Amino acid sequence: MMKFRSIFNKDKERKLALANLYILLFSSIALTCSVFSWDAMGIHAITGLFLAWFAPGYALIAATNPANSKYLERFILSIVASFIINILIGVVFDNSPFGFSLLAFVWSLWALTVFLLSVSWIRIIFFHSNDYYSSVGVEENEIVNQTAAESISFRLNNFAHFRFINLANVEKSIILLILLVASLAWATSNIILATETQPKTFTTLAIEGAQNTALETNVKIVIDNQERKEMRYRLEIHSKDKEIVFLENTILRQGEKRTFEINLTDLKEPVEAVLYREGNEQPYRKIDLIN
Amino acid sequence: MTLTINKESITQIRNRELVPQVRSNQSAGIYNRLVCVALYLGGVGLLARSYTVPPNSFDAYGLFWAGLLTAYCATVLIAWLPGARPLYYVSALALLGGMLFLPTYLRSPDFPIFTDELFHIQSIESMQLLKTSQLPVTFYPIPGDYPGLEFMGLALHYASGIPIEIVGRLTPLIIHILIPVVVFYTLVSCSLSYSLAFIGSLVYMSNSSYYFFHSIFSYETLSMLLFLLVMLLGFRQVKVLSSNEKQNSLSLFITIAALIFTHHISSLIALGFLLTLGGAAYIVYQKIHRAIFAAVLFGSVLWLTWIFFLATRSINYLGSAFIARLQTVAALFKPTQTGAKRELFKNSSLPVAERLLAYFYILLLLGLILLGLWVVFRSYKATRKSNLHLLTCQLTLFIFGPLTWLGLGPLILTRSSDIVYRAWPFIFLGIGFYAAHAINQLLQIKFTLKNLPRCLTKYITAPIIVVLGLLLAGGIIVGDNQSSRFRPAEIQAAAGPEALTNDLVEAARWLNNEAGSYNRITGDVSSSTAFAVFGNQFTNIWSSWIPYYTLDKTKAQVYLNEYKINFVAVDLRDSRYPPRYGQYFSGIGVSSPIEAINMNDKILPIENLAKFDSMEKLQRIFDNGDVILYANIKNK
Repeated sequence: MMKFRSIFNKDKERKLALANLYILLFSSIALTCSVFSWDAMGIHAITGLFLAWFAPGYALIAATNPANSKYLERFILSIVASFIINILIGVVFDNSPFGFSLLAFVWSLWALTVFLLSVSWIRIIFFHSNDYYSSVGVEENEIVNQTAAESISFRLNNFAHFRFINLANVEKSIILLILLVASLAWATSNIILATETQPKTFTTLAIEGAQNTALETNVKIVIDNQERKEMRYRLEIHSKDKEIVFLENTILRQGEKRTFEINLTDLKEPVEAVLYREGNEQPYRKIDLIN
Repeated sequence: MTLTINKESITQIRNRELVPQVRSNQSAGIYNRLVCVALYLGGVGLLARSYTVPPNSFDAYGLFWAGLLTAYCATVLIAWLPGARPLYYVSALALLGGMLFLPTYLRSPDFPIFTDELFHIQSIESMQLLKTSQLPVTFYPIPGDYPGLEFMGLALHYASGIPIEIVGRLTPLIIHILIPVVVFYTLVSCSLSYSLAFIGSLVYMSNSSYYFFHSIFSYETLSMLLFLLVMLLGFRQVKVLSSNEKQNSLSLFITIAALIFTHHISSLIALGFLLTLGGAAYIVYQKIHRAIFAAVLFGSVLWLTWIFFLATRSINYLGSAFIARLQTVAALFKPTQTGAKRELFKNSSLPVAERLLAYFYILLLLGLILLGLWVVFRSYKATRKSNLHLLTCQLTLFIFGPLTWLGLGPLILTRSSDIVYRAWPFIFLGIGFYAAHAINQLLQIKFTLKNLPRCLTKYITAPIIVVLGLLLAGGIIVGDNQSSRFRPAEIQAAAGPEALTNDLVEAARWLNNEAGSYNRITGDVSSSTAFAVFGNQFTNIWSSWIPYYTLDKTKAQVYLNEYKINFVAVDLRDSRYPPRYGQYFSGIGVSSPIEAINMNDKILPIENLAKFDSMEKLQRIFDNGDVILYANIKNK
């Protein structure tokens, strides 16, 4: 039975309507940031995350189940529902004449969020009935002690009830804060340390342009030093008889590249270029100049 | 007044004694939980530190397990301290899920190295560039055919400006956190209490795919989350048969649609689940749940439409994969077995203790499942009278749980073991359901064993936490990172994820810069992946092993010319290390010539690779030590 109600008649409805308003506000900020590529203090990233991975899902749940006030469950399922909406928007645009793009995505996400929130408001205001207060789901405020498994918490209480609890609240808060900050710093610093990798070291010798040098008169040979230290190289070009027809010594810093432009017609039957490391007579790298 | 004492009232008194008192000092619970959060962060720090010490050392393993143990205990305490609320259970699961993602990231923080992940990152980058999901094939045969994951990532990238590389890491992290939480809510929807649902979620997290395989940017990861959501929505739909409430089924339909657009097999399994659920509901309630069967019909039509009209490349891909699976299973009965197999600890550097734990984990699971089945069957009559919804869930999760697990179990010891491990994520929710019942039964031992010393009954919960921890550890070991847990200074195997090193990536990028995209290149599995993903080259070459497994230069050149190969990639590590998955090259199967089959698991002779230097039509144009590129002059 339709009942016309002001959305501020019930506390629960007021909260839901207010939540919807906040969602709309943040979504609009995200849309603005995306459309105008405005990124100050990471606002674009945060609001964009909100617009893509929360708002549309929340709006969908609000529209289909407007008076469900199980906040935690709604929060979790909003994220998953947003994933679904992203997929559906992408598929729709991909199979349309318009294709998908940045504007298509962000405008669609915002428009869908607004539409679904509007449906939610309409249902709260005009179609309120007990049917919409679904009890299917989980109540956040319920403290359940119904099975023998709950005795776990009863036993763990023996470990948990420290002298800690005898301190004043302020002292507890300070200690807790210090503990949390220290542990966060410990975790963060170790993660940062762990992400510092030691990539494999190597030197590259290559023909620039990946060209067929049989057809060329000039060829560019590139040496790239990724040995994580300064390196001394000797570049030799050999003829068919293994005679050295070109020789160049070079020193490269870490990450430095050097290109040698060589006129093949000036050289006697050049065949291969060989790179040596200083102090080592074994060929380090080798490429063919002419096959 | 007469006091009547009977058996029933004695049981009630006993039960009442064990109902914990709700403590009025809720702030103490919050403080204690925040201390546990600090403990959790300490565990995370220890775990991360294990990646800063020499890899595969005693310190590394010690720090790894110490960190895991600390964080696990902290999350269990968060959940089970007095004053438990759903928020704490969910928080504990989310924290544990987040921590279990960390090792996969720290194994390769510079760039992903697992093939499936790289394919999807290439797909999302290509889709962003080309503005379409109809992508050209480079190595992965069906790029963009199931674009759900890519669209989800693109939505975030477009809305937030977060680079694709970070999206590729953030997406699996969020999904990895959400999976156990959705499992929790699903088990609660099956009429389990929060504590039992938490136990069931922990058991779910011990499945072999959760720790590593569902930590990567791959469509299977997202599809698993959506599959679990289908289960949650399905169980809630069925509940209305008992309560006569209205339940909107729109969410179920759109979830199925999204799952179909994300992954082929998972969506089929989801439809199978809904069919099973609908059948179970019919058996129990003697009523047809129209929404569920309508969802199955809708899903079937959409699945067929998608694959036959929009994802047509997948027909061959799925067909050949299906036939290959059938051949592998059929090969069980042949005297000489062919083809590659993925052994459980093949080329693994894990300590013996961990491998033993992995075998114990299977037995522990089996014990819990059997005990859970006994508990459920014992209480069948009572359940049938009081809770039809629970009975429906029990029946459905028996099929999508212990029955399938036990049925597939023997295949673990065969070459089809990967089918088993791939199936576990879909059935582990059922296993978690029954394991939770088993653990609940174990906790009730104090009621049944009257003469048990009090000191034992007092601490009976501690072994339960240990059992759950062992399950989790076993799942981590069995489903560990295929390219090894830590970053080794030297790789242990070639043609696998760990062979995707920075020199190979640089070679791929160099070729793209110098020779453009979509050149045809042949190479081993890791070279093919690198050149396809980082170099945008076409490496999906039929029988690419042929020029590498012959000393006949003419034969090799004929192959290169016939398949219009522009460049040949040689990874000299193939002549130093065994192949990660038994073969260096893709495409060697049961139909390959005997000479190739005999090369399985054997190191490629250096002569096979050195011959390319003396081939007249190949010019060596790139050399960075282990990776050498040859230009096929005829086809340039």
